[in-house]
Amino acid sequence: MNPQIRVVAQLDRLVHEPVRLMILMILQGAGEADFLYLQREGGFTQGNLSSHLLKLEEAGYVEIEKKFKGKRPLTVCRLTPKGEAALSGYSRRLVRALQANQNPKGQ
Amino acid sequence: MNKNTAMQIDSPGRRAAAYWFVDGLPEILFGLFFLIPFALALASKELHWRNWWIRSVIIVVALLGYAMWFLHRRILSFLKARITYPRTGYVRPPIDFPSQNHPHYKILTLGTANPADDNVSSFVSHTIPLICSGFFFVSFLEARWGLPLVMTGIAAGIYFLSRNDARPYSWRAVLPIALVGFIAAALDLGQEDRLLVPMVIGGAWLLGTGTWTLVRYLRAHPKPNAGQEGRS
Repeated sequence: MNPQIRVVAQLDRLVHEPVRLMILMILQGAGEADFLYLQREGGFTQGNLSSHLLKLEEAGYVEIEKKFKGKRPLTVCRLTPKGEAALSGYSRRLVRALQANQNPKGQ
Repeated sequence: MNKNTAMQIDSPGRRAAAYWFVDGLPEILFGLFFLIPFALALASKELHWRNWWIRSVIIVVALLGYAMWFLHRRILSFLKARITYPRTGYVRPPIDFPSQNHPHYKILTLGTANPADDNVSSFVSHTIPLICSGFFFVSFLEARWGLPLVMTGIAAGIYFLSRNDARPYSWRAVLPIALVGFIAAALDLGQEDRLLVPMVIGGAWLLGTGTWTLVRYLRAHPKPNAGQEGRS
C-alpha cells in the first residue's frame, strides 16, 4: 500500500469524528463562540454537542469558560493552541493522503 | 443568515463575521449617528431656528454622536447581550478592518487577526467614509444635478465595496440612496443645506435597512423562554 495512504490510519481519531471536526472548524474560523451558536451553526442536538465538547475539553483541544454578557450567562468555547495544532496536523495528513490516492503514479 | 446577501458566505470565519450584522443593530447605530445630528442641523437651517436652547440641543446631540462613534462596540455589545445572544447565540465579533484581500492586511493587523483571520468586517471602513465623502463632492458640484450624481456614486460605491464584505448589499438595497438623491434635488435647498443631504440620506438609509433587518430577525427568532435561555 502507498505509505502516504497508510497515514490515514495515523489520523487523530478525536478530530476525525465529524461532529468534533465541525466544532473545531467553527471555532478556528470564529475565534470563540457560545454553546447556542455552535448548536445552531452545526445543526447539533444539545446532548450531542455537550458530549463532544466534553471530549474535546478533556483532550485539551477546547477550553470552555462560563462568563456573563450583561446579565446573561454564556458558555463560551474557544480553541486552545493544542487544538489548533491537532486540527492543522489532521488536515495536513488527510490532504496529503487524498492527493496521493488521486495521483498514485506521482509517488 | 441574511438571504439577501450578494455572495455566498461559506467559511466559518466569514459566517461569524456576517453574524455581527444578522440583527441590523450596527446599521441602526451608525444610521442614528448620521441621521440625528445632520437632520437636526438641516432642520435648524431650514426652519431658521435661532433659539439658543435649540442650538444647545444640537451641540449636545452632536457630542453624543461622537461619543457613539468611539463607544460603538460597547453599545452594540450591550444591545446584543440583550437581543441577539439569548436568541441565536454569541460568537466573537469581527475585527473592523479592510478586507483580507487588502494589500496591507497582513502588515496592518500585525498578525493579531490570527487564527480567526476570516472573522473580519470592512463595514465601518467602507460604508461610513463613502457617506461622508458626499459632503466634499457636493461642495464641488454647485449645480442642483450634482446631488443625484453624488448620491448615485455613493450607492454604486457601497454596492461595489461591500461585495466581498461580511455585510454585502445587493443593488436593490442601495437603489434607494440614488433615488432619494433625485428627490432631494427637486427640493429648493440652498448650497449650504445641500452639503448636509448626503449624510441625512445615508443615515436614513442605514437606519431603514437596519430596522428592516431587525424586524425580520425578531420575527424569525422570538424571545426564548427562561429554560432555553439558561442553556446558552
